[in-house]
Amino acid sequence: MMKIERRYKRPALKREKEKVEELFKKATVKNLQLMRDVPSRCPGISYYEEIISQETREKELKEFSGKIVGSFCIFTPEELIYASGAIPVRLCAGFYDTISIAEGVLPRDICPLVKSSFGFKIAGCSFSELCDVAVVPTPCDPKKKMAEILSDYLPVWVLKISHDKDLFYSKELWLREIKIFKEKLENLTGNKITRKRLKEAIQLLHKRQAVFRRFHQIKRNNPQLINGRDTQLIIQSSFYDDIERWTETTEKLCEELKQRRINNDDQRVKLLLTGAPLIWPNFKLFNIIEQMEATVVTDELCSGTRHLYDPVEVDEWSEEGMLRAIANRYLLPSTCPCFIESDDRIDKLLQISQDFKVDGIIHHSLRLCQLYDMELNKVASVLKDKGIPFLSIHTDYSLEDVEQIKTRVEAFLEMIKSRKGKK
Amino acid sequence: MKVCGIDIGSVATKAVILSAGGEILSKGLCLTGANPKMAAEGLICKILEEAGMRREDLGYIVSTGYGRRSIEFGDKTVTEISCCANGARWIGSNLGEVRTVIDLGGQDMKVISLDENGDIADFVMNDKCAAGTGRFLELMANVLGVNLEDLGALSLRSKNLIEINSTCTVFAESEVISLIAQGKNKEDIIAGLHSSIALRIINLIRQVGEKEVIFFCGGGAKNKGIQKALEDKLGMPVYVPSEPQFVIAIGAALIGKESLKGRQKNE
Amino acid sequence: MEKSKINSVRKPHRRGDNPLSWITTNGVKRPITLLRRSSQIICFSFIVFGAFFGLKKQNLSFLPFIEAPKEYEEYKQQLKQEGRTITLVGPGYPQAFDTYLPIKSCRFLRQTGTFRACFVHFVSESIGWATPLRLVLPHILLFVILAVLFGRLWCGWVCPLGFVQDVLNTIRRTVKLNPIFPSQKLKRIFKTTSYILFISIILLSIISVIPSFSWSLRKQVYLSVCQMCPSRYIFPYLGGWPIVHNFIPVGYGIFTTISIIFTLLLAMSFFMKRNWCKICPSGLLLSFFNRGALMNKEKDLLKCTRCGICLEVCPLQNEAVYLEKKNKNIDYANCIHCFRCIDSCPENGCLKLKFLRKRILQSKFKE
Repeated sequence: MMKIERRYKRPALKREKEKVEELFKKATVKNLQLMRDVPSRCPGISYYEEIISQETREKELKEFSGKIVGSFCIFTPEELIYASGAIPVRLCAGFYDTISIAEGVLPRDICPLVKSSFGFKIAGCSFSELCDVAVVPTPCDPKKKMAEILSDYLPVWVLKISHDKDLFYSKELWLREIKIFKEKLENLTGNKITRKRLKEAIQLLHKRQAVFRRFHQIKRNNPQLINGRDTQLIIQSSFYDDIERWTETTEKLCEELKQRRINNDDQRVKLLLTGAPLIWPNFKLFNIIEQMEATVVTDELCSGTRHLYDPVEVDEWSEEGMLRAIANRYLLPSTCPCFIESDDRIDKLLQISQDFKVDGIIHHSLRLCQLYDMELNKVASVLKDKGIPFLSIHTDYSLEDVEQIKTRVEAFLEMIKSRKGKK
Repeated sequence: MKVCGIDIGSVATKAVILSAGGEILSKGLCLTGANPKMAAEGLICKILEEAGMRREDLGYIVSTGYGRRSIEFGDKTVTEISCCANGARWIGSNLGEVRTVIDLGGQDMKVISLDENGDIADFVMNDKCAAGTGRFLELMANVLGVNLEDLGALSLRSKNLIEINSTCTVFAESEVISLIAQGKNKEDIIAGLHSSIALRIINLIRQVGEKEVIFFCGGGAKNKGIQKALEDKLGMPVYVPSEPQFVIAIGAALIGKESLKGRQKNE
Repeated sequence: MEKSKINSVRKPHRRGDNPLSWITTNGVKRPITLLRRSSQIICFSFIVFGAFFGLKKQNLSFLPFIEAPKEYEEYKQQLKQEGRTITLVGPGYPQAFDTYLPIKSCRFLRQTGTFRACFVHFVSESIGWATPLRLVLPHILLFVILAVLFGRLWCGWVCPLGFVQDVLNTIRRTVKLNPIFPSQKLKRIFKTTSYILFISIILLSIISVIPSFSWSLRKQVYLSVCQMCPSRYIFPYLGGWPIVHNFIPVGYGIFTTISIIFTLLLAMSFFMKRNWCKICPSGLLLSFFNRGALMNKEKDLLKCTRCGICLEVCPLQNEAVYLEKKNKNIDYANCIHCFRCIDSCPENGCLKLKFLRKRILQSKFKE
């Protein structure tokens, strides 16, 4: 493949590694502490707490001899990375204190997720330092352009996403993108992605996904068994964790949950959280909601359920067949607002709210995440018309508006309760 | 048994005592200041004294407002949104169905939409920026060198208002200063300020949908200029109660009354 | 009291469960397809190799329309007398019973056929002989009843030609060759062809019965459907019956050429799934009943994530199931009721097969 060399390069910034590490640790400890202050918390979470704290996993990854591929979105096909013998690590971050660091390079008025993730790279800590390459799918503009700026720091591969998935050639384009990605992976790792390896990788991820669905069902049948924050913790630890170990642990957890008995009546308001991703340690909204008489029974977040829910369904186990199945899985069921129509997402929200019998929906709009914001109006009006209480919270990673959000959420809960009481 | 509703706002603390029959026995207002707990405590003592009652006469105390959790003597905390809706519905019951409630407070503004049954259907608040709220008016009054209370009357005298482009307190201040320097009429500037606040409120109203009757309360509602600007822009009458600041406190007291009934029933 | 509450939460009621769940449990990835393959194999064996299973000729002359079949040798003699070329394959099995059930048989299977398959042949022949309506009516009624009950279920679960195509496709799958997906344009061409074919068959049948045309012309266009049908080359090979070629006179020649093309088309289903089904006149006739049939597929519109697997597995690349987001009824004309979409859909209860509003099958996520 011919490639024109970059002519203008900026020197990479390196700063404040220790400080960021310390602050991250602090934020993690604080969040974990908040999550522990819950009566009758589900046991067996400590494993995930350790993974999400990143230290242990970082050490493990440092010892890993193969390649590590950082990814920025749920659009990155993990099957291929596993098939090539590399390990994927998701680099999206929800950490406030790296934002100001990133602002040395990135403009102020862009999505905090991009800035936060980028800040880690500038600080030179966390997983971003271990990655041999970063994969940046391009659902939105900040991610797209970040790819260029990030390439000053480490090799970056871009995965282009067509923004109209109904268009007949979108699938073809995406499949081509996936094939190129596969070639690049082969060159990076030196391992050929054979049919056998690909099949094994698909089955590996299918196992994880099956276990997650089991967990999802258990939670649906009895949302009391495990609270929303712990669920998020479990899902988000799968971003970095060793896949087999995670699957095993979660399988055990499912068994434990099945055995678990909780006797008290659940009076908590069941909420569905949707909107922009809430990534560790940005658990502000979860904490606010669950500190009141409410629980997040499920979510429709790309940092949450969506990361693990959809399976790769292979029809034909030929190489092309498998690649096509992978491409379809990442493109078609996605409800990312980067696609021009939001009907699928509304359908999904309606379905989840029926399935989990939720009392209301909270929409998290990350400040400056324009795509979610632009979709919000339509989504809100449809859901309100269907009689589902809906609240949108505009916020970012900072903690300064906690009190305001508390008032809104509390008023929302009062509204739901008074409606329920009248019924 | 009497009930008390206390609204600890960012600028002022308001308290109301209601009798079991629903009459307002006493009410009072003081500045919240740096210590909301002290302010609330003092205010309750004051209004009890005015009504000639003792602490034991209060069967139920509901606290609301941003400092609702800071007091320890309350029986229940409710958000100001529910209280505001309740209060507005009660006060506005003679107007027909109140469907839209606007509250312009010291540091926030909210619009609540009520359904046919008087339940909250939807609500919006300004985000964490306090532009265009009471605090904004206070500052502008300072800059213009007039009393906060006089703003309304002054603006009604305006012949052709001057558009103010910004509602951000900081930017508006410099804009107003430059207008003063240009020698523009004070009344017109004030009318422009009111118009920009009204615009901001209307932006919120649009999110929930405007439905009559529109009820306007909170400290900001005392300002006739904003009321007029709102009416002009909406093309609908906007109803302001006689004492708009107490609506939330009354709402809190009403919720207290209901809760007291429930408690007595259980006993 | 508390305990009973827990139980009610933990055990969702089982009344609405999938009646066929026994088959979906035992680790089978595509249980319905397994079931369908079994059905296809059994039907194929009975239809094509019925004689092997001891299905002898029965005296069914009490039934209407029993055509006394000529013995094999007798038929051969007759063909020789007519001066036709004979390619003899297979041992020549004894006659199995030959009824009109469920519909008129495939003429290329008469030596071993147990069931009668092709309604188009029946229609064409009835017109060709100008059979009185009184005698035709019971058969039409039977066909309509079956079609109203099951729609195109025949195509997916019974049809031997369909099975042949599926076998070809399975061979391709096992050797890991990639399939060819028809473009939208090609699909449209197929659809138009099927209509043209069907209409011309009816027209030619009508010509063959009008006395004012010359006998030689009428003879040439008689049963044009069978003359063009790919089963002309497939079933004799499989069942042991002479393959008859005629290129002279011109009419026979044209039809034979067309049938060769169609046979090649069918053979192409090695690359493109179920090619012949896209233009099959019999399928077209059944497809008119597909939408209103008592057996119907339903989609839970909200549960569908549009993951596209239904489109991927569909032998006819039917986009309807994948795209539909308004109407829960997803029976489309060219659906052959293979239920592969129901089988592969990963959302529990998203796709359902219903018969008289009772659920028979539903999609299920398979670990």
